[in-house]
Amino acid sequence: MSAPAVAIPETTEAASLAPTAYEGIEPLSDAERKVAANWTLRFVLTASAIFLVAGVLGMLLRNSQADLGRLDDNMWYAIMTVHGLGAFVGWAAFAVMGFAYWILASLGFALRGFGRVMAATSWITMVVGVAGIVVTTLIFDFAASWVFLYPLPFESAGQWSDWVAGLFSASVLLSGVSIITWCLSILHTVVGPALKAKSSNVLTRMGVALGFGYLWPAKFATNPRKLPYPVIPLTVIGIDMIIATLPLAVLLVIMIIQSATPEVGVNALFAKNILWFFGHPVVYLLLFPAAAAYYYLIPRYAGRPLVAGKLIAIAWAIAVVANVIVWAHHVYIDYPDGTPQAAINVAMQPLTFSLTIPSALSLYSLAFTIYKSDFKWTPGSTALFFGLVGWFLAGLSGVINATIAFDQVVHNTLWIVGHFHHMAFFNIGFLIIGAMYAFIPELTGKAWWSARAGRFHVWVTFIAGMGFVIPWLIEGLNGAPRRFAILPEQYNAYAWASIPFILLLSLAQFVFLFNLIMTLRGKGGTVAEAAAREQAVAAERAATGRKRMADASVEAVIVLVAVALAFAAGAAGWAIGRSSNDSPPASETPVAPAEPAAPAEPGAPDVEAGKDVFTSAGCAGCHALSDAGAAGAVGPNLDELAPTAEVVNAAVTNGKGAMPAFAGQLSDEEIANVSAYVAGVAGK
Amino acid sequence: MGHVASVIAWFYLGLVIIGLVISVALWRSTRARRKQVDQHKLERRERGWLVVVVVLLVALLFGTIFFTPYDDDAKGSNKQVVNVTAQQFGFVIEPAVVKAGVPTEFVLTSPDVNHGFGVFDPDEEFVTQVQIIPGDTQKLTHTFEKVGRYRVLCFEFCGVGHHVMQATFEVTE
Repeated sequence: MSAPAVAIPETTEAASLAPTAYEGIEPLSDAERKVAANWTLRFVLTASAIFLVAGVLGMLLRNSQADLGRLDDNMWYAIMTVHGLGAFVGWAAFAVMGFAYWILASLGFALRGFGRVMAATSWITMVVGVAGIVVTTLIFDFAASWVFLYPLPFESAGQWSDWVAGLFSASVLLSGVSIITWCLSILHTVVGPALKAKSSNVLTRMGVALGFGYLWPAKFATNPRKLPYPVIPLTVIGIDMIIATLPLAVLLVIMIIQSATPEVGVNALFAKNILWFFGHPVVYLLLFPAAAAYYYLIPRYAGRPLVAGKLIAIAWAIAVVANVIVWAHHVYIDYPDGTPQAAINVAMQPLTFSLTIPSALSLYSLAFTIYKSDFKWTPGSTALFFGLVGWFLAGLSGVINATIAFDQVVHNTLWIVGHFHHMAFFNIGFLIIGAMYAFIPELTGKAWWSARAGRFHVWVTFIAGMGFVIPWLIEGLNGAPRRFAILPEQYNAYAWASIPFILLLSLAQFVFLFNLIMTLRGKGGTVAEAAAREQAVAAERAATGRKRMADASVEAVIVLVAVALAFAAGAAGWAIGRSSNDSPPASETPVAPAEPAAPAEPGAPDVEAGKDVFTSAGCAGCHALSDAGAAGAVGPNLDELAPTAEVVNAAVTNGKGAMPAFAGQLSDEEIANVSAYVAGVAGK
Repeated sequence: MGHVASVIAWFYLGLVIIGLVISVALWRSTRARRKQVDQHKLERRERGWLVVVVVLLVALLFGTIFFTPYDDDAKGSNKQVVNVTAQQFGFVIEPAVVKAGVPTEFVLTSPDVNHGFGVFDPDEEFVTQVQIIPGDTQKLTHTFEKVGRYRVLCFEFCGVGHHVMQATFEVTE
């Protein structure tokens, strides 16, 4: 079967892309191009596989919150841990790290010698690191969340052992090694001969690669052409991630030692600052290579050079410094007595604001490059455009988070989850999607199998993606906490409303996967064939005078249908959520009419009410009790202990050992009820 | 939605609408018949737009930086102190009854891991929060106006029982 099963693509990515928007590029040899292409494909395809797994795991998390397949509590948190690290580092970062090699190669910068060794090291350490994270979480129950806030990895409440925490730390450390070796490969590549710097001094060449030549042309001279803009953000992040990762690596080594020798340890506040000293820049490990890709691809679709200039070099000079001194905006809500944390936090609000400048300028430059250009709207370029919309939205919610007075309301709520999905899934995810559409034909010589499937994928992903992110933003503003396996019930309707969008989203990704597999198997033909087909169709249309339906109308119809579907699904989910809220809980409906539903006489404990107390007052967090479906392992297993009502009453009222007293929070009646309940069902 | 949350919602919504209008305008601009555009002219216009962002950020900075939670709001002698111990997976709040209209100073500690202290009023509306770090003492001052039973949820992930870690306290006349 040689002919594709669907209609001839209206626009192939390869035929729409102008060769390059940057002048004076000396093309690499075929062998050099092949090296870069191989490493880019290896990074990006591995990352895509991780994305599919991480996506399915994310779906399980939200489904569980909506009570569709409820997961065991610790399993929920274990999946949250691996979903976060997998999607953020294993997919988003890993993919843009791979694209960097192809972008540099396309600008004449060859990956060679030491750089090639570092690229190979980066790939293998990331794969092994992610595998270690998967094993320690899904098999050995490590569930301290993807920020593994110290000392939680060693305070597991009986859920996992210290050696598992050590193994997890070692896996994250390997991912850190991957990041550092990638940085080295990038820095080695950018100072290579293609830089055209006059100086042979490595530090001066690094300055040239940072774009200093635009600011100080005499000291950082290039000959003859200026530095292509995409090199600047790659150099910035190559330097910053080495600075940011080393302290975290030390913390991880200490944690590995602590897993074997428990007397070793560090101050929790210090560890929190170290974590975020890495945790902020690692966000830009996604964004800055993505910025390079936008700088490289948007001008090619627009058919004109990037609208930039001196200003963008200033912005990146701010970024390289500010990036590593703004971490404390993640700990605005920490300001313990007698520590300088409050002062550090206040200083970091304006510093964080200054980081808005590189983002704002990049968005302006890219928007002005598109503005009134002959922009080719293909699946790839549409995805890139949506990525820019995501960049704007994520930046906006980011500015809100960076404002201390606002963060006090949104910190650790689901608003933050909405923010970073706009960031990682929209701003970066759409760049990855767009760059795959643009680069796969260049990297493999194979044309996309179906442009129509591509359009469907990009549009449905955008609409369904918004449908699952926006509920988080609203929930967060209504105070819903993040990282709750089971949310307080007033937030149930939001979880229900997101489910149809999540299903739609996964459908679109499977369409993409199918299209990708068909493309890689050569079912779309070669790039040359696809371009020839497109020209033939255009010629036929011109000859017959048949009016071609404008892309705009096609898109408008797709949008309307998709929006209608999404709304219908959302409304249905909402309605189901509401009706399930309205119906009385099963426990209020007497199953067997054994006793009249008369009010219990004073003094006689109400066992059913006691069960409600057990599940709502937090007993299940620490104690196992099969009747209540509780599996806590902090305190004694109540089924084994089988205590009398008097013993339970005393422990709950006054506390016992590590157990806090609940006398202040529960009434005497509630305590009597829960005691009767536990005594009645424990061990039965 | 609380007062500050509403401010955020309107601020965000307003700018999102502006952003969407610009996105659509940008898309439409690629479909019009046009003459060659002068690249340098666009660069100059970009500089103008940068000024807009800088002015907005400076305004936001000066509008908000004086409203940090870091000042001691209860300098006077007229405050009530509540000791809170947060531990996996419960809070001990002593005393669990406070008076409305008088500043309440929570003194919070944790013997095990990081926890959060997120307070919801009797209408389930979010009021305030602070983080609790093991090894340090955290203080949070708030004057409650609404009378009734307040709910506390843990606002920092602390392990398998994080979502069941909650408590209540009473605000009286």
